Amino acid sequence: MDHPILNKAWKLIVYILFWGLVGTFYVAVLKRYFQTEHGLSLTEGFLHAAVLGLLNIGTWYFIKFNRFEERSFFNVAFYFLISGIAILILWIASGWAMMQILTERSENYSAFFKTSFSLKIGTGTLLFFLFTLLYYVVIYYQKNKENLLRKAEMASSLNEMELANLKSQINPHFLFNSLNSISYQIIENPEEARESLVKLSDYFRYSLTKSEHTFSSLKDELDNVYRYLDVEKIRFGDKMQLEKTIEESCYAYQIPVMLLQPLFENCVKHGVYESSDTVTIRLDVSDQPDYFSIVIANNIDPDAKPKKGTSTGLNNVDRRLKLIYKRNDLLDIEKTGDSFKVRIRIPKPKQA
Amino acid sequence: MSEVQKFKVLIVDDEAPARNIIKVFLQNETDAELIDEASDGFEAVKKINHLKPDLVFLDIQMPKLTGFELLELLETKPEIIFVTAYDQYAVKAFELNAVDYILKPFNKERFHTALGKALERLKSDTKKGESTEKLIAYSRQTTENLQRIALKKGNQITVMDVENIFYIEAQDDYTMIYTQNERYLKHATMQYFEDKLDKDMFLRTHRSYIVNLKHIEKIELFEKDTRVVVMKNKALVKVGRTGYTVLKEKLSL
Repeated sequence: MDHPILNKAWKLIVYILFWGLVGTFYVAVLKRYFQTEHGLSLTEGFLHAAVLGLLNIGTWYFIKFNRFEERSFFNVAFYFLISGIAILILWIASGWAMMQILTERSENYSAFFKTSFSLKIGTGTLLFFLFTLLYYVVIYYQKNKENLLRKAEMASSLNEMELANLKSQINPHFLFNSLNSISYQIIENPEEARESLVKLSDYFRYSLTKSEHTFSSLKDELDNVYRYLDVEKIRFGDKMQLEKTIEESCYAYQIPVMLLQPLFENCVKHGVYESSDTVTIRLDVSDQPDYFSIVIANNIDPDAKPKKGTSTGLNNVDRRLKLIYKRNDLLDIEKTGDSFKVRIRIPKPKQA
Repeated sequence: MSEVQKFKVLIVDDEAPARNIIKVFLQNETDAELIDEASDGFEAVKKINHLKPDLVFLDIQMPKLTGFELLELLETKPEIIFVTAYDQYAVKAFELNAVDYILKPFNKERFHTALGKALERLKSDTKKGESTEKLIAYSRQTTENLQRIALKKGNQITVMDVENIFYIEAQDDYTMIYTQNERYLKHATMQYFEDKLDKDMFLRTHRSYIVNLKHIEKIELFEKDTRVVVMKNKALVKVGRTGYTVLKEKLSL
């Protein structure tokens, strides 16, 4: 944090004016109540105001490192006392020394010093308290501002995350390319085009209405995956093939909603997009005693260079599995030069 | 009615329906005729260089070779109309460089606006392919580290990871790219490679040489005061004085 007074020229000017005022006031008090002569009053008054003004700039650094939220109350109070006394001593002693030099050790001044001592202690203490208070207010204000700023930042980054999440749900590449192929189907085969639109709509309805935390039967999930693959097939034709072996008993098991979708999207994105030959996606679901396993595999073109950002989908699946089942051994990835295979094991609920 | 010379059009897209819709829109076009189509980047480069079309409809996302990489391999400069579904970066590049593009899906009207503009330019025959040249320059400027590179030798196109490059040698406006056993000529400057290649992997050792640190075998004294790098395939690469200082640092000698 910058010094709240030294960081702006106008604040410094106000500060100097304030001490000028204090000095004037002090001079007036001296003349009125102590009947000191004119010259001495002026020197004594403004000199002491100037010194105390300088010392109180330093008070900031003491306040800055001595905060209630970071230390115990007694600790703060102790340092507070010590620094108050230190500033008072410094002020009175240096004032005295300078006045000694200026008045050439006059007897008069020594006498005056004794009578004005308690006034100085009172004034110094008061002003020290005043500035301590001011500085604490500044700190509190700045912290509050920072907090508000941080909250606003957090809110906006949350919005960004939600937006990214939504984008991944909608998958604009898929959407616009599909609409483009359907636009051709409309010319060539309106009946087929209508079917495609219904499939595309059903797919989006399913993926947009289910929240990340719900479960669905494997049957429903796979039906939605098939809709997705059917729509992609309009674009790629026979270049994309699906082969599947699924044990009947598995259809009823519950799995996290849209868990498999990113894996099939990867098959298309890194398999079919990047290959000029036929790509076969293999899906195997098998029933085991404690879990059932889902294997999704595809061949990849050995010439195709892996694109960046390949692992977002996989990471997401991994994260969800860990979060939901509190286990980190449920996802296996096997990559060779010409194939990619992901195996997921979903624990079955314990029988009562 | 006199016989009008029609402009030759080629379509490049990996998806059949996407090609078909352009074909349908091109029917009954009096100024342009479809001469061929290509379903991947390699096929497209061959066909464009061979058939020399006047106008190409070019998809950007394609297997193995993107629309941008393809552009760099062309020997002729046809007018290009880009066709893309969703690519914010590309659309910005098009707008900045005044290249025609259409976003999928598109209607007949949008299609004909783009086609009309391209045909107009072809008829006036000025500034042919100029905006496309600018686009190539722009995309070279803005892309981050180069990951893979499209190279051509005769009719053979290779796309490879830049880590397979052994070293690069300046040849006037061109550069010669050396791999383990091959070399390829590429129309690009040394500065371009120096800027775009990963600086942890590549180092410019000399005014005319950039070397891949991964494939260095040793550094030898060549003559008094000059040194050469011996690559793992025994090729020799010149090292300048400042190059040598940096090279020592990189290899922590």
